[in-house]
Amino acid sequence: MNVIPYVNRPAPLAWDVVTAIFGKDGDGTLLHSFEVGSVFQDDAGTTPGAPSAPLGKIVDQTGNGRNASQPTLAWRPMLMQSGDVWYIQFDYSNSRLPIYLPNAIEGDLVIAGRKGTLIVPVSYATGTTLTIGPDTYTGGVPGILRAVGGVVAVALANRPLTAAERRQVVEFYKSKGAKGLLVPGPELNTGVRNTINGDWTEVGGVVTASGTTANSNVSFNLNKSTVVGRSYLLNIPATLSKGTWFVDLGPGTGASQIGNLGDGTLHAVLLANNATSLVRVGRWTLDTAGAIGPISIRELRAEEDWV
Amino acid sequence: MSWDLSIVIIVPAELREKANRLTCALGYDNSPVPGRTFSIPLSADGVEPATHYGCRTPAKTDFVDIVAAAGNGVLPDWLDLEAYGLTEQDVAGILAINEDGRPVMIMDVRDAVAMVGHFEDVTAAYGFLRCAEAQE
Repeated sequence: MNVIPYVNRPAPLAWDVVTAIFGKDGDGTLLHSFEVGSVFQDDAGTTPGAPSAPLGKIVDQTGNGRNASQPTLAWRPMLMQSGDVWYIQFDYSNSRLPIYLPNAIEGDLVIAGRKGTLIVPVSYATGTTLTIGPDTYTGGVPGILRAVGGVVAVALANRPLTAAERRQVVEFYKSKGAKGLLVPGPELNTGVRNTINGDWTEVGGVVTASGTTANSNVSFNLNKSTVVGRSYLLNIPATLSKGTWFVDLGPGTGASQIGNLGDGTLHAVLLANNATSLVRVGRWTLDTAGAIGPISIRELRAEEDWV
Repeated sequence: MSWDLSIVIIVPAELREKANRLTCALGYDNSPVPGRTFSIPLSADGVEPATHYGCRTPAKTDFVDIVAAAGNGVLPDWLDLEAYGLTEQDVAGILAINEDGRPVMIMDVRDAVAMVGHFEDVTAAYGFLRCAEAQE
């Protein structure tokens, strides 16, 4: 008798199984770019969605009424089609989709994208507006939507998903054009010395500025160049007496940048615009004391892309 | 008519509210008046207060036509400025030319397929950095 090895990989879910996962507690949300009849160009929901047109409203497929609608044209993302795949393209500047949550949420948020899928624990108070965009979600790491890419679906559960459910959900959205879970790769900042600018000094891997001069940034040279178009997750412990931080990936003009990062650990996802080994971290408010480091930078890719 | 264009518009901070009201009057913003289209605060060094506010928006070619005509003093017949607390002089002020010969309102038009990075390219070209943006 021939033995056919069993592969422990769930088959793509039927639509009703997904709605059961996210809809059964009454507070979940399912926003699908690919559901014909649930996407609209206008916030009133009167003009059907179309490829390469603004997305003004998307109806929650759970029946819980957690729709997303955007009354401001400039803030609407675009609904896109590539072959059989539909997705929502944010501009990462001002486009965003708000979802009003009438009840508190303690659960998992899923953002399934063309470059990778994010499943993250979230906690939102009663009456929170969960916003997807411009480049992150409410409470998320700045820039993370760039790593996700075009958004195939957004799903919210008011409970943590089980490991089995996570795999089922990922497989389902992969069948709709998303990629697998986003996974960070190995540490890229492996002991290469920092380039100190002006009043910055380095002690034990931590770079500090007295705040008495106007040198605003310090550069870190990695030993591995970034790859254009790929996403990098930065985690940088930092404190600042006032103002905000910025993080650059790449040199000056043409650098990928995220700014207005507060105190604590600076979390940011930057999309490499060029092949570079340079990370710059700095303060926009000059003459302020601060400390940075040690920095961590890891590439983010969908799990199947690491194989 | 299709959504073929990506447009970045930047206005001085003192004209922000009027520009927002104008987008409401034109039917591009259904949020409560005075609207919120121009939401991204900008300054030369990224430090508040913002000197300018910007937005990036999808658009059809008719929007460019409206702006071009308005620059020549011709406004659409259907445009009800008074209902939005605006006058024709307000519109003229937004579309005016500075003493140095540059438009008060910066506007950059691209093909819609190039929308990602459009805002950053324009702000960099004009020497602006984002200030901290208030959460919605």
